[in-house]
Amino acid sequence: MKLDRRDLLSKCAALGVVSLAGGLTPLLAAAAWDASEKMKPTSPCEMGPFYKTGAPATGMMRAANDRGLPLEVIGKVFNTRGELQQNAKVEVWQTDHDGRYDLNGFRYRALLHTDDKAQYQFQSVMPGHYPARVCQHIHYLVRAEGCKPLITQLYFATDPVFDGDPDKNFQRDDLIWSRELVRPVMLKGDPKDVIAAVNFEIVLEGL
Amino acid sequence: MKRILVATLFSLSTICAAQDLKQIAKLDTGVSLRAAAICGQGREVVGIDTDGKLHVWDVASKAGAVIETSEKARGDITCSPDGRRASLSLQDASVVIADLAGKKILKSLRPTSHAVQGMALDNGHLVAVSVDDGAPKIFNDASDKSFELARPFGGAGAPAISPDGLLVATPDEDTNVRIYDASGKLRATVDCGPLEPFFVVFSTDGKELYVSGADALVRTIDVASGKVVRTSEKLGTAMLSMIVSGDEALLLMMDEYTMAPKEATIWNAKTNKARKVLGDPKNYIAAGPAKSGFLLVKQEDKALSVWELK
Repeated sequence: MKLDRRDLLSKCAALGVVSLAGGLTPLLAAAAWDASEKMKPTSPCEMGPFYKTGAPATGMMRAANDRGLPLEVIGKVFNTRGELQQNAKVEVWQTDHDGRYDLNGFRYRALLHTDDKAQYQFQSVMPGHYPARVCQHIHYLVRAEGCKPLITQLYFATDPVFDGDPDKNFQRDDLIWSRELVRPVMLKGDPKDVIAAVNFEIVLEGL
Repeated sequence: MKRILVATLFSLSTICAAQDLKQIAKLDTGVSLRAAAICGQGREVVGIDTDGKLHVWDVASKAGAVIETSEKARGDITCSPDGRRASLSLQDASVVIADLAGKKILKSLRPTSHAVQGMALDNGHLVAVSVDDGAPKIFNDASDKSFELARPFGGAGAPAISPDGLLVATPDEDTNVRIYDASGKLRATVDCGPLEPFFVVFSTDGKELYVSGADALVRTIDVASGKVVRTSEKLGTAMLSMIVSGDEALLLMMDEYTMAPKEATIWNAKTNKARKVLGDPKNYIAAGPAKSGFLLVKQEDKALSVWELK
């Protein structure tokens, strides 16, 4: 039988393989250990005005000959206890390379489901800038059973707005409430076919 | 959701043909305003200056007054249909209710710690407030009770209260419109298509609810049944504001790329038809219903000009 953390600490303390400093009990130590492993929920961000229901269930938003730097986004969905969230619904929407949302159809809109490893991924292009927003961004609406829906946005460390220093400059867009939403970008592929790859893990709060 | 829209709306210009507009007053304000509203069917103009003070001007007499608040106003202001009360949101996320006739603050409310998205007042005791990332609330001044409404994902836009004060409607970011009774009980959830509704306004008799938003349509909801009974043809581009006067709605639309004002249309609820009002762009900071047609307020150098649009 697998011991829980408190019982394991109690057993280890009894056997002398772990010692607890004054004031610490196995219960307190286990609680503190558990708390230290909790994941911080992903910061929310505004939904924006152009969400659309009914997006297609496809991970391929980019069509052949679409303008813009090809973009691949991969991530996993967790809850704050660090548990993988399989079958979470991840809705994403963004502008095209020219900074325009498709309000008539469903270009650059997708509904994804996380797989048995709680992973989602999609292929797109780097979104464009447009006058009403400072930074390139992709909107997310993430829902999973037992968790609060999360509305947030993904930003890119390569955005020229940050002048190469998102730590210092991420607040140039006053809708970016957390530096953690600005993700590093890895360029990969061969020199004639470069793709920007971004990892964006999502952590949902429990209900 | 709508922070972008609200910011655009309150710094806005609209498009109207010169021949449709007639200047009816010029008010010397001595201050620059960052938000304004038209109250009492055009009887008064209220505004928040850049120092956060609330000003009230009588359009006929051009007399002005200042109502002091404890905190700077954040930028949103709205009036009850009879123009007797106004509400404004403050920097500390509270909402104050002002008695425009008595020129005093009546009450301060604190919906949540989040920024206020939109407010509505009726002619009685109700105040409805929607906030960023939270559930809208109804406050009843008479009973001192408050009621929390549903919290769809994304939140809700500016609420509307029916003329009889019995119903509250919200345009929600999950693309539905919800109708509640004044105690917060959900009466209907109305699917308003795949794109977001931004604005809801009750008809003057309260029997219908007009909805406009990102899809450039006006939907008419029969309030009793909670069903969409009419949908207009596509009127242009996504909406920036909707103001109802009698059987007509003045709709301001945006350029969907810049989100700046693009054109204005007047839609008739009886005929379900619209006519475009075209012309030179002009800078207006408020629009509202008048006894007949609409009033627009344009900001000039420390002055406001008031224009009638029929």
